[in-house]
Amino acid sequence: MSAVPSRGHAARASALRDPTNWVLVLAALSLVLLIVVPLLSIFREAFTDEDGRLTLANFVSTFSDRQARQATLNTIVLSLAVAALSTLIAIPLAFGEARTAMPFKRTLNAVALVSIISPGFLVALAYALLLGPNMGLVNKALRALLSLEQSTGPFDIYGPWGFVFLTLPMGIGLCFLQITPALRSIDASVEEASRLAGAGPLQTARRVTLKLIRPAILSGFILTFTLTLAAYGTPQVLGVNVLAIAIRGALLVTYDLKQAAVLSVAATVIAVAAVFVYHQSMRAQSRYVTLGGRGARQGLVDCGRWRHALVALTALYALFGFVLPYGALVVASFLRAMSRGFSLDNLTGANYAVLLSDEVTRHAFLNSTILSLTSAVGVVLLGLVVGYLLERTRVRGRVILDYIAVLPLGLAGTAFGVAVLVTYLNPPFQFLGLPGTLAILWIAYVAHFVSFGVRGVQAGLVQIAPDLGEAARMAGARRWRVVKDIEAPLLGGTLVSIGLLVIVLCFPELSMSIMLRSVDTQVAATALLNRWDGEGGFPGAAAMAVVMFAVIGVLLAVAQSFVAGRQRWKRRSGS
Amino acid sequence: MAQQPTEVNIYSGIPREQAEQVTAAFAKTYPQPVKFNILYGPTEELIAQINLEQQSGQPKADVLWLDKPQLQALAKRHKGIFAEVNSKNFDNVLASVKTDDYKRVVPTGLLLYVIMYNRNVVSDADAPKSFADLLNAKWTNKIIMANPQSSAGVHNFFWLITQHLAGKPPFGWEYFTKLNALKPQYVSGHGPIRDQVISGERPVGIQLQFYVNDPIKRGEKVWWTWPAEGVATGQVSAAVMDKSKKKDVGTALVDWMISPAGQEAIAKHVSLAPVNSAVDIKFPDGKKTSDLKLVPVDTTYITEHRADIIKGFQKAIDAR
Repeated sequence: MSAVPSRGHAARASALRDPTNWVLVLAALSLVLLIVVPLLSIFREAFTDEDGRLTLANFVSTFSDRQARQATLNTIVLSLAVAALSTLIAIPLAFGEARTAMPFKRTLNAVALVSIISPGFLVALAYALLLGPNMGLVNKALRALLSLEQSTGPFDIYGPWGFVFLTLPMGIGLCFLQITPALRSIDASVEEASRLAGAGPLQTARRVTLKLIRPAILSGFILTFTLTLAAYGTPQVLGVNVLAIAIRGALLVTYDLKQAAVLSVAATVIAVAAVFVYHQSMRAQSRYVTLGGRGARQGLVDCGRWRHALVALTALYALFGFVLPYGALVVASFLRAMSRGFSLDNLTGANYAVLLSDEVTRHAFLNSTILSLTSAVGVVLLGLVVGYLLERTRVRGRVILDYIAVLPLGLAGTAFGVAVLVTYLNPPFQFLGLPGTLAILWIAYVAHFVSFGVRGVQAGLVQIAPDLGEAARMAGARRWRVVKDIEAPLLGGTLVSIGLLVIVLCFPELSMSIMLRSVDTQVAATALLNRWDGEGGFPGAAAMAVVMFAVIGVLLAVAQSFVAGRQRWKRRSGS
Repeated sequence: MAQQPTEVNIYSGIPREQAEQVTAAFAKTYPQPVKFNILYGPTEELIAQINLEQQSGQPKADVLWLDKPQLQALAKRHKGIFAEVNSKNFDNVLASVKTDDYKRVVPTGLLLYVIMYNRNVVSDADAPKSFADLLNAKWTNKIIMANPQSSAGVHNFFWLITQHLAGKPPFGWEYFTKLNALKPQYVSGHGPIRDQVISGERPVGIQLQFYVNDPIKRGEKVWWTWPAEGVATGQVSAAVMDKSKKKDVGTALVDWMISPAGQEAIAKHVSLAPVNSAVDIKFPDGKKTSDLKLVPVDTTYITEHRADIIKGFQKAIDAR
């Protein structure tokens, strides 16, 4: 007798036949493997004693130290300050770029990217030349101009507020790149309706536009917060006591793995708390869907005199995020001796010539190019699948994946690098033989930056009404077709933004790379550090930073023209 | 067909370009073709990497060339990690550096602690001549030094002030309390000290001498003084990994490093003072190593008291 399958049984069988479900499961497993496994080694270290017994004693001993408590407090306060200020400044800039006819949009986009790619420690050194309290060029000029009798200041770049000031351009760039695509996706008719109802441009911006882009704003805030939390180069140069510095000290100077693990757990908890707040805020977001079944229409807003304010803000951002630090770097890169100042007989091209002839430097740049491009692909694909899983399915426990994705962002790169290395040096993954290869760097990069993919895709999907996909599904389309033909094309701009962001974050990555690179897998940032510490000194490192900036610029241009070419080809094929 | 060179991996705390010149000089003397892959990095990071490689049983390094206390700590943690180097050149190596297991952690050069200054801001006559001079109020906001919490190298200087000179005012831990009152800048390592002194932002730095020579060669307006209390002398040592398949080449390299030819190459390219008494070098100020009042650092003390030094420093700068 053959049994008639029940409806539930049939649904389960259908779900098993749907390859999309397998892709989702695979992506979830990948996320666990990439992130949870390395992190478990840190958590195990923090919560066990030397004999492997569970204990909280490591936390008690770590936080009985005033320095550790101060580092934790500094990290929270400074990360909040950077994230809040970055968001406030990025919103009008993104609005200007996406929704107005303001000039200098290309400049604004370029500065946002440059601010993100700039190696923190080098920018800090450049600013030390400008805003150092004793001999900073800006300070000296101001003292002379204002006839100040004091021998130091008026500005002092060293200290917590110097850290905020130097990290701000990166934060603005991150928020800008998150918010701009969201603003571009808004259907202009929604805003027009507001204006027809009698609201002015500012009122419309405040009451309609800001509410619609709230997920992207929150996303930018959280990313900036967590990246500032893990910043290493800038606090190292400025001498600011934050968790990333304390973790490195415990790990590498006092060899106290327990203390390093406890501090890493503290950083992770702070990052997770930030995501929790994000989730709470996003609960009500579904009512702000902006891309519905009807076609979206975009339009530019006439912002009148505010246009000048936007240009002024762009100019200030360009000045502090690019002109001043890179101006100092370019000048320094052509100097034979820094202390002899700017004179013709002190100029040289030797700092650049050395780079061209050095095989290790060339190899390092090639490695970084390969890693940043392939990591971008990995983050976009994984972000798309996991973001979809979170936003478009009702799989139980899916929110846990969101928390998992953000975990590595809060960790100091050094600590995460060590965790990855420990994982793949020991059983059961030892047999893969990954340490010392580019593959282990790729794993760390993708794991560390996958949150950008997940968060970006989530923010994008929130704006696309599910009814588009649901209609297609009711018409018999499989989930894969819905993603491929409807949601991925609508997310196109967002996916490109994510990819570009990952390229610019991966290329200059230092703190993880320094633990994972090997003799033949040097990357651009570790080669830059070597040049600075070695014979090149600051002028040699400045030359390399300028070249690094140029290479990233070329990479971005190639990536953007590839995407543009593909879109043109698609349009032609379509027509 | 040309013979393929043997590839040897060196983990080096000496900047790559400098280390490459030393290994190139050795390669000319070695009968077989040999290629050295040099992984340069801050000593602390390389040590962490080596520790992890050891734990996994997959060491990639063949030779280590790093600060002695860290190599000692590594040898203590992993028994039998280094191969013994038997060399007739040990006969000429200074007795003061032939301590502990010097045949496995082989001293190759001396790190000398000096006071670096910017000649645009501080005249030669006015430059501090001793570590005690640095406590003069005129150096308020002018001094820069490495933080022991982030730099392993500066622990040599801390040994000098708190152990060697202990009980001789103004030295001991209270020296750092007094120095802290002058608002010095504490930085992560000796590279930032070099750059801050060169720019004049912090015109006086407590610095390793070999960080001064390269800027002088480039024409920077910086100079240094040999501190009157004595020159704290740390060591850069080399060690051959016992399980390395290239042990023969590694051992030959280390043997050559302590030979007169190797010592001259190290002094010329890396600016480390020689450990071989048959070799003496002239510094840019005309002084020879034999003219200096060297104070060999007790590296074993540093190895065993690293955490105490950091705590002592924090306590000293917290004291009012």
